[in-house]
Amino acid sequence: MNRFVRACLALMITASPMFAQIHFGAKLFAVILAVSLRVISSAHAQSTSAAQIVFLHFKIKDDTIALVKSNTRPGVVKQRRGGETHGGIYYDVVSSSGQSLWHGVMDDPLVQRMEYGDPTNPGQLNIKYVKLKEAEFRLRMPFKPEAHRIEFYRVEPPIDQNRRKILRRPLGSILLQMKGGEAK
Amino acid sequence: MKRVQLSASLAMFFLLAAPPRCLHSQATIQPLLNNGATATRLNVVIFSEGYTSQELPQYLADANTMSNKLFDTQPFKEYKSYFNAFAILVASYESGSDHPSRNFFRDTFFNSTYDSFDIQRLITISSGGLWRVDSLLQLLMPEYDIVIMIVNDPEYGGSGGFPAITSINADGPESVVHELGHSFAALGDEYSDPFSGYPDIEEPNTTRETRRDFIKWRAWILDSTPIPTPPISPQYAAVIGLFEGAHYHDMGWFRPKLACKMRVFGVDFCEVCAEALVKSKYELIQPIESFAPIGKNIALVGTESMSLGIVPLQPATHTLSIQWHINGTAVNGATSPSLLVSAPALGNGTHQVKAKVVDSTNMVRNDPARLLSDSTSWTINVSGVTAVEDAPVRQIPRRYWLAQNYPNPFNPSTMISFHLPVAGDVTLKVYDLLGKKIATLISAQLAAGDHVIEWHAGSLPSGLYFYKIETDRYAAVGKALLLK
Repeated sequence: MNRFVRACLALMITASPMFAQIHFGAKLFAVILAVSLRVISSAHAQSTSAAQIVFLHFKIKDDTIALVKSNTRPGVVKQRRGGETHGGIYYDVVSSSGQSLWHGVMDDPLVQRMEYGDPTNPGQLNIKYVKLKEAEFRLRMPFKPEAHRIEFYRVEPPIDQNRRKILRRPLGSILLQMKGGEAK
Repeated sequence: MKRVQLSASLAMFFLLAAPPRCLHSQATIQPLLNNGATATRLNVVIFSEGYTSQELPQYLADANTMSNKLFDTQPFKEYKSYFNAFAILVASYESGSDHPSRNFFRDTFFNSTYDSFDIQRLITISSGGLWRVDSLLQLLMPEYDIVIMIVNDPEYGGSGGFPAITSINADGPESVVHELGHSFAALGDEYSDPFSGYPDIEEPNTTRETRRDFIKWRAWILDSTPIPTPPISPQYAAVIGLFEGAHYHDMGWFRPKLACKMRVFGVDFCEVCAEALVKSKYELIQPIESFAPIGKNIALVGTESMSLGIVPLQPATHTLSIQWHINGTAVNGATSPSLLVSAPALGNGTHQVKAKVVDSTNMVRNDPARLLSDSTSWTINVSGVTAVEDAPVRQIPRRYWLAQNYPNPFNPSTMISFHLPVAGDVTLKVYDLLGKKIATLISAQLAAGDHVIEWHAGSLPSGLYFYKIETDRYAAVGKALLLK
């Protein structure tokens, strides 16, 4: 078994399910569970780049969100420059001092917005809106040892046409505890 | 690119943990379009679904069709070199996809199905299938940016989201390109069919604003175009205006053009949507792909000199503009990818040298965040220069010099710089390890001064190569490492 295979095995072992729950809306920034993200540097990572991508796998059900799994893989995840351009869920990875380290916007995983061609009008589109009770979603972020927590916000539309500014409503946060980063 | 060559057995090992279905296939990844390192390119990943192992060659053809459709569509066509594309090949036990309404079921790797949410042509995959997509991406292409799945079923169907799904029906690729408008550039739908409950948040191509000077795409609207713009074709079919009907509303919401791919299939993206797509590319990757030297603090002593260089990205039909600055002042004529800086020219002290790159494409008229600009700079500390050695910036070098190519290692192209104190005949040739001549990059009479040439080695295998410059008074050899 070569070093890379051993590293993959170690990744899977450390990626055992962990559950952190957040109650949306009621308690802002309620920290429920610290999640340890143990990074195993693989031979593959060492041979290409020191950069690592942390894969975070969440489950959201009703008003509760849980971090189910985390993995790290070698590579560079791209930070999108520019401002928010659409609604959904905004997330912000911050340090213990509150400094933003990484952020992004994703579609609301509880809203399935599915387009399909109109069978009666070729070339035209239809859309199906499905509100789910539970869903899974995934985020990627670069491995940052100083990452302390990930905060979630729901991006809300303006109440009326005179107030165009998009609002962020805090949903909650999950503690992250990054460890490792060096080959053992 | 080692990730591309991971063995199928390793993929199998990783997937053994994938619930709930047992593994019945091995996954491999093959490049469809390779323009550079995955960290510096936008990576499109296309999955196979519902192809048996015997049908995987056909899948590769279908994936190429999908890739070609995407990169034949503007603005993806102009910026094709900013992308890589990969096919992930994974076989299913059975061919096709589920059609529950006909009681027709197939055993496929990602468990795709038509008839999702009671819509016959809406294809989705199960949560287990999504888990497998995620696992394979982590294993084979963790730096993915766009994910597409091709379902081996001739019946029209698909869906947006992650991944964007299409069948092999001829209209499938068109729907995927539309979906990329959503997922890649956050473009909104421009059609009017009601979508109750969808958030009324404006997108780059939708608005409720009707005051001409406040419309977000004002830069594209001619003063002669009426606002709102009558939906009259052909009078206003080709212009950017303010057409009512967008964002699932017949009234009160507006779009830029009468017809656009975000409203109807079979037409191009309008200028406003194309602009958003171009800016989205630059939200993720920078115009300067690499630079050399990597160290940003440089010390030069006495008569020493050094070549600084950048490698900008290269769109299909236009080039990014380059301007070098020294201590905040643009250097006249310094618009090539490299700049020779010499201690005597700079003088004793600390100097800032900056290379600024701008994409001046006519596809973008509105870039307040300056996404289309990029710069990199070096701090150069000069010492030991005597008064006699002081000279103007960019003086002609007094000696021959062949610089180390950059980037190095490289794939697929690299820049080679050299300097001539006097005009003369010059040859610059490339040889392999066995001494066999691979290419003649230059064989001409050149003027004195700085010269730079780009060597494209896309058709060559990985390995060590030598580049040799010869004049009647000088010869030198450099080593370049091609890594694919």
